[in-house]
Amino acid sequence: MTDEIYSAQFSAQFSALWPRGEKTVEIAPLAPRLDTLEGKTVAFMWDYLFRGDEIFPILEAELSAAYPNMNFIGYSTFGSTHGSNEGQIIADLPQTLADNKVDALISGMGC
Amino acid sequence: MSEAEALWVLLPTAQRASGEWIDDTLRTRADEQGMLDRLTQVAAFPRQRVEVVRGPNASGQVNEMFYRRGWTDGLPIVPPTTNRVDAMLRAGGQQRNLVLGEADPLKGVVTVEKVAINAVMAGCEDDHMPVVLAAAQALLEPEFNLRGVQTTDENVTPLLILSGSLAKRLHMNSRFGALGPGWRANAAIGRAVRLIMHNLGGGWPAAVAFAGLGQPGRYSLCLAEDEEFNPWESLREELGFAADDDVLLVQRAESVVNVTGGLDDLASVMASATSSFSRLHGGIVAVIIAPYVAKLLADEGKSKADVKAYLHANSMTTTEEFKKSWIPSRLAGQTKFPRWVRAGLEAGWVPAVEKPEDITVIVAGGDIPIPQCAYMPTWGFPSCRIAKKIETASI
Amino acid sequence: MLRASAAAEAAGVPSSSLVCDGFLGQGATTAVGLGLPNLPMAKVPGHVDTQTDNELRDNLTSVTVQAVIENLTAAQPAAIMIPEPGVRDVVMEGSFEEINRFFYENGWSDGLPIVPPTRAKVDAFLAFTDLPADHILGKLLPDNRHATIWNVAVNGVMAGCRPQYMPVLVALAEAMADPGYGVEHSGNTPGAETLITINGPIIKDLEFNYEQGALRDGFQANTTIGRWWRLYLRNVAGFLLHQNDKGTFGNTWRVVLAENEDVLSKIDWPPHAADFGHSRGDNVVTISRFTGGDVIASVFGQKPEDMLPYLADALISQTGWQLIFTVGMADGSYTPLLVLSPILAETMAKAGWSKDDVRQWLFDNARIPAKKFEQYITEYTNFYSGGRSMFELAQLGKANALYGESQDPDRLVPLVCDPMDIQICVSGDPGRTNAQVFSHNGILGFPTARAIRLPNDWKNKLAGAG
Repeated sequence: MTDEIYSAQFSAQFSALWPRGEKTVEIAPLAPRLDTLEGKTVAFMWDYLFRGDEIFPILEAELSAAYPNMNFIGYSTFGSTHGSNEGQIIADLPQTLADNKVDALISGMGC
Repeated sequence: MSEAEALWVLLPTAQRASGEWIDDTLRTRADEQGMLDRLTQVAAFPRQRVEVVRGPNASGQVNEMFYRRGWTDGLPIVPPTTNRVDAMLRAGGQQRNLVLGEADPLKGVVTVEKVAINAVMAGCEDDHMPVVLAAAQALLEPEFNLRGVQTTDENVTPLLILSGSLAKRLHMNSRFGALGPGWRANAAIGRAVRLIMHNLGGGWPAAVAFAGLGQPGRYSLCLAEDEEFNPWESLREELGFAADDDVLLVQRAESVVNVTGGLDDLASVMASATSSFSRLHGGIVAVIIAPYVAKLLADEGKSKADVKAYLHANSMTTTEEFKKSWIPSRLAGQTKFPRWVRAGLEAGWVPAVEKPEDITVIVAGGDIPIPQCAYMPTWGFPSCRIAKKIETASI
Repeated sequence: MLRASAAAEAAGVPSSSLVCDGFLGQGATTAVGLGLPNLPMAKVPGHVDTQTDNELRDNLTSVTVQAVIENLTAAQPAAIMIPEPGVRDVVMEGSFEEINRFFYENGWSDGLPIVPPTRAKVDAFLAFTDLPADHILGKLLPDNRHATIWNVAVNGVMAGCRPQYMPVLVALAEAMADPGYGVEHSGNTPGAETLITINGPIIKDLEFNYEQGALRDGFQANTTIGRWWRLYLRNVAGFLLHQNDKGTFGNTWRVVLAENEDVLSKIDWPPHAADFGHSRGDNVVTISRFTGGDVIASVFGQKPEDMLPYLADALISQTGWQLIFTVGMADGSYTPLLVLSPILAETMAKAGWSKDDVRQWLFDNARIPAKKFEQYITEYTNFYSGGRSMFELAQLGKANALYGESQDPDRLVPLVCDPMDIQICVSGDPGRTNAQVFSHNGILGFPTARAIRLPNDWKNKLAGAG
């Protein structure tokens, strides 16, 4: 095969299509932030990984030092966010948060 | 083979960690400021990593396109082709997808690859990459306050000083014309830093960055500390590094003020060229001592510490002069100056900076008997003097 | 973890999500997929597992606490949509090499040459489904992109599939989008890889290999469909290495495992798909995620009782950290797979054993001391750190009652909670007494099946295809 024919074969043009798909999710607004943490109830939720059991108490201590009148609800109230019950826990979460009068949530650990 | 050029260019702009392209925010801002009649293609680009531009004159097309998209400093750029960027990455020795941080104010994700792309555009040689990487990391330190530097009304820009034998190997100028054009290392490394701030942080002048005038140092402000003309310890040794280390110093600098003369002339300029805002926020300034002056001082037995002490003690402005400056005269009683300023006001003399250690001193410039020194005021908080040791693989 | 935060935000409760350095990109990407691109995250510097207590404390107090306060009290910027190419757009015109380079540089290719996906080629695939091109099969996390007939076909072309494989690909896309499967976990650090199994007459229609070398490349159907799976994970689910695909090592795509239905028929054992409610003769694909496993060579014995102890031991030796999916992280979701060569299955069937008999025996005998089980999930991996023994967990209803029958640490406990959790397939060289074990990834890729829908006039279309 001559160089010309060879290169003609390989210079065939293709119009390639995009291989991805449309992103669908509506942008939901975030919940309004708190004016201050003082006097507020903060809940911890945990996926039972990556030393959350050590990390949450440290955060609780530091936040209490900065805001003396905070109230904390531990992660055991909610159950693991990464277990087989994850779907149910999340589905129930609005009610659970309301029942516990939670003002803000700290969720961990993403590692 | 086809005669038409095809350039495979990587896009120098950034996405936030959440996936949005900063150009979409910049387009809104540019539109608000009436800039889209000049930058006609802002945010009009394929949202991908690589773009193929076909000839003829592909290089010219890339330049025009990048300019109109707002991705340049107004000067032509080197098209960041995959080959050029790959070479730059090899020289940098870091993984291309490594995330160094997010660049304020628009929080574009800074990866090693994006740094390399902008370094290529700026005209850097591959060997410059370790220095550019060190500079990029310095910008991302909280101490640098990139957000402030990008959005302030003052004309602050990063000052890059390279101390060590690497400067010679890279042909970075420390002598005649060290702050001017002609040396690729001085020009391109400084320019790469500006393009990183621009394209990854989104600090577009007049759209996001509202510096009243800006300054030419925003194209590049980069030089080397001279070794042979320096009679004292080097900058890197002062900062606690070894003599055979290569260290990049990054701090914040406003316009370079050239000073013909010696320490007294410098001190006088320091006194008057330091704004009330600078005294409000404190910070670290920079002084370049001309070789001729350095030799005279060393022959008199003066150390670098003596020089700093002298400059500090003599860069005083009188309380009367100070009261005429912008803040005291307009916001009298409303602004609380730091203790060292108030102490100075009571004593009748206010220095330019709080203490002698707040003056970075290097020796540089041409060796001529009418010595040309320089003073660079600083801006903002917190105090910033960032030293990064350069790790080079094989230079 | 982020899903909990997103749910809180939706319920009007501000959140802060604790995220280690290495997870930030993955977290942000996930947040975008949840429709909350600005879900606030508080950074925990470094990786917590390798920090001393003091280092961890210092990092938390110097960086994380302030970030948490900011997340909960400072105004967060409003989010905007991201403009992208249109779903039917041509993104590049060029030669074969140029298309390949373009796709690779943009992260749309796995590094092997792809077949340029042109309109004509996609149309050939569309002819093998009755569903319209823009029919939405589901939504894939983490990118939250639509899986459509169209993009299934585009990726099918790229993978080197033949158009007639389209019904299989469609079923696989549906399975991938099934929330029960958990595709969003496909980038996790253990790096498990999906195994696709297939049942039904379609095996022979499409010339899948189901005999010797069943898990090796060489047959176009098995190989290209396996490759398609990972291309689809990349391009539509959105997993990219060094970004949100965090597999420490990973594996690459597995070829599709087709069962030997001739043998199943002969010995009257049900197909794998029967575990999911299907019957012999149904065309079905199943997916699950597995790591590693091994070939179990030379299973010696003339009777099931002689062969099975070795196979039970194989299940034990191939199961370790995965026990966390039985107790600890989940309750009984570990479902390992045992692939028997036909001769092994025939030998068992000849002795009168059904597949369920085999499962029951393995369930009763593939057991380890409770203390060993606990060692895997606590001391070795720290996956479970709650400090309770298995006995206590069972008492509290947090583990299957099987694990609470006594407190004796030497008591033998099963690897799974139910005999049906042991999956069995029949394939491989019919004449070799080898088996293969795959260790399952539990809730991070739960076994999911889908019926394959054939187009009208399948037989004729198939006959006309190349």
